[in-house]
Amino acid sequence: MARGWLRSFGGASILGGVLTVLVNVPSTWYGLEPRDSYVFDPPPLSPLWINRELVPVLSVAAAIGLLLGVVGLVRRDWSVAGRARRWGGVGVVVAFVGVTVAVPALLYSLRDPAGGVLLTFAGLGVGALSLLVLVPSAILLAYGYLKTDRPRLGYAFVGLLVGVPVLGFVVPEPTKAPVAALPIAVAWGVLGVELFRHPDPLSGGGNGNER
Amino acid sequence: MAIDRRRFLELAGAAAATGGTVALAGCTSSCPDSDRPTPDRTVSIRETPAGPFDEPPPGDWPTLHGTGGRTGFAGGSLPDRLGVRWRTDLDVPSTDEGSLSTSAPTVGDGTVVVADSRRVHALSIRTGEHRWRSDPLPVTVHDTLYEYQANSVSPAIGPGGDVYVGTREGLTALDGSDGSVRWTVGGLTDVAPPVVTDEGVFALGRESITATDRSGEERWRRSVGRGAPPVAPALGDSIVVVTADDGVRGLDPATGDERWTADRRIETHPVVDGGACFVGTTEGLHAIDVASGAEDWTFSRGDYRALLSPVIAADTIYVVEQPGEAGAASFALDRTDGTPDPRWCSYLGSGAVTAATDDLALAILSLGEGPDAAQAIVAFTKSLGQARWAIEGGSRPRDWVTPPAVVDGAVVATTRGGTAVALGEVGTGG
Repeated sequence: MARGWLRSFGGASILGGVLTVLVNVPSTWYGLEPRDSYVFDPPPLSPLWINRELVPVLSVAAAIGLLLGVVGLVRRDWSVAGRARRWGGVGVVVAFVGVTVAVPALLYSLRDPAGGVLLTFAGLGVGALSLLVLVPSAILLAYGYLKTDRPRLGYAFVGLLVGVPVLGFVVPEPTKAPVAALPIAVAWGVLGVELFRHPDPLSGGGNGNER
Repeated sequence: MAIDRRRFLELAGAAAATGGTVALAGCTSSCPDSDRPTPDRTVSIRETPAGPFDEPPPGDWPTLHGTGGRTGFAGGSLPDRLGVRWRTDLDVPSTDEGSLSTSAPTVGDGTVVVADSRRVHALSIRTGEHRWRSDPLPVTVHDTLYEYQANSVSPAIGPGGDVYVGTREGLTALDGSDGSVRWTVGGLTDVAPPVVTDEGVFALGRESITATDRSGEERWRRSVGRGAPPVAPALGDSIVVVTADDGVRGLDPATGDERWTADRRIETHPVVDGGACFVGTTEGLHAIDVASGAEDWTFSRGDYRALLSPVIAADTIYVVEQPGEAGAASFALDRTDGTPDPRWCSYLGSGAVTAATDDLALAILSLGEGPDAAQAIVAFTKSLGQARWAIEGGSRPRDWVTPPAVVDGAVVATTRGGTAVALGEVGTGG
């Protein structure tokens, strides 16, 4: 893959991480009050419009950004990566493809349950399968990068795997969601910087081949 | 092409899954809102009254659903600081003898009129004091499954103040000054709330509809052949719309001649507004051209989701979506460009929107879950469906509120057990 493309994917990765935190900001922080009814077409730029129209778009953009980051990483290191990085990378890519499909499906079905029952089931199914694939794949990926010459990406993934559940459990509402999303932003930020500054394949263990 | 056992099971499984999903889709509400509203302010009908109105609130609500067309639209506005102005407990038959039979109120000529299963009561709208109580009458009663409906039919108030009530045996006209019987039209069974105009009274029974002038002389009678309990007819400029055994029928109000019949089976009342008749069915909400009987449009929220009890305001239609197996939801539909466009929807449980002003929709629903939850009249804003206030009746069936009468600046409500209450602005000296 061309260096320019890898750098672009790095930028997308950083953007995806930032957006992941932004879309998890509690809606009360931008003025959304509890509602008694579902409004079909909220006034533009109103808190309800931000919640209903902008946040879903940013959610999809975030998922795509995270996906592009991992695709860039796997593509960059494919020629030199060992089994852990290859299988882990492919697994994370597959999982994020699933997330990227599930997010708009679920958002659409929430907006229009009249035509969205099948879509809801499909979105929930794909989302659940993606999570099942994501966790072991991310563990493999973290393990693989901990063994490379620049293990910070491995540490970032370990921090992600530990930080998200711990922060999600420890931090109280309403700050739980954005704080729990921070390890994702950090991991994909590190990934983005890695792609941007080091577009050449990263070999493992200092010998150029960990297979 | 031969189908082996494996292929057959695959096809059967796919069909069952698809069918089950489709059936499930029809059983649920299409409204994404699934929580009961939390009104900003709640007023109990049992709170201490603030005292009579200085002047009778202007405006009338002379028949069930407010207008001859049954639109449920009052226009005007209601105060934010709503409080009880007076409360009167009516002498109604005890529950053992006459069930919970107080009707929804009507308002006209400065008087609130309410029926129970045996009598008609008239109260001053300013003070709530009794004006008269009729001699015993066999007022039409039908046990309703809907918590937002009354069991007894509402009387109608004519332009001169006389009162007209449907009975199990016909139509009875009462003198508006003392409640004495002026005349009776017989040969009708279980007469629905009548429609009164300057020219006369239209009364629909199980078998036929009659037009009677206000002196009691019958002008015409037409068979509708409907065995089910009749629902209130609706009146337009040149049409009377009734439910009949073959659908919805438009009649010439002068002659009773049939203008058209629309093959629509409706469970709730038809509504006429301007040149359109609105009927709710299991297939959706239909707008029928009153001149030709042709259908202008149908608004649907999907199969097996009935749209019932429309309330037609100036630029908004409120309608109740009733799925097969789930709680109902109210939909506010924008109709400024002719065809309806959803603006908001709200979970109603077993309730319904029954009236509207320029800026509010008034719904009857339970504010909580379980047997202790109180029935209330909840005011939703027209634009965003926010619950501004609620008038709380109670949790026992005798405290359930009936569809309120709405006049300019005031709401008159009754409970099934016989409490009449008027609410208006409080805190400003009224």
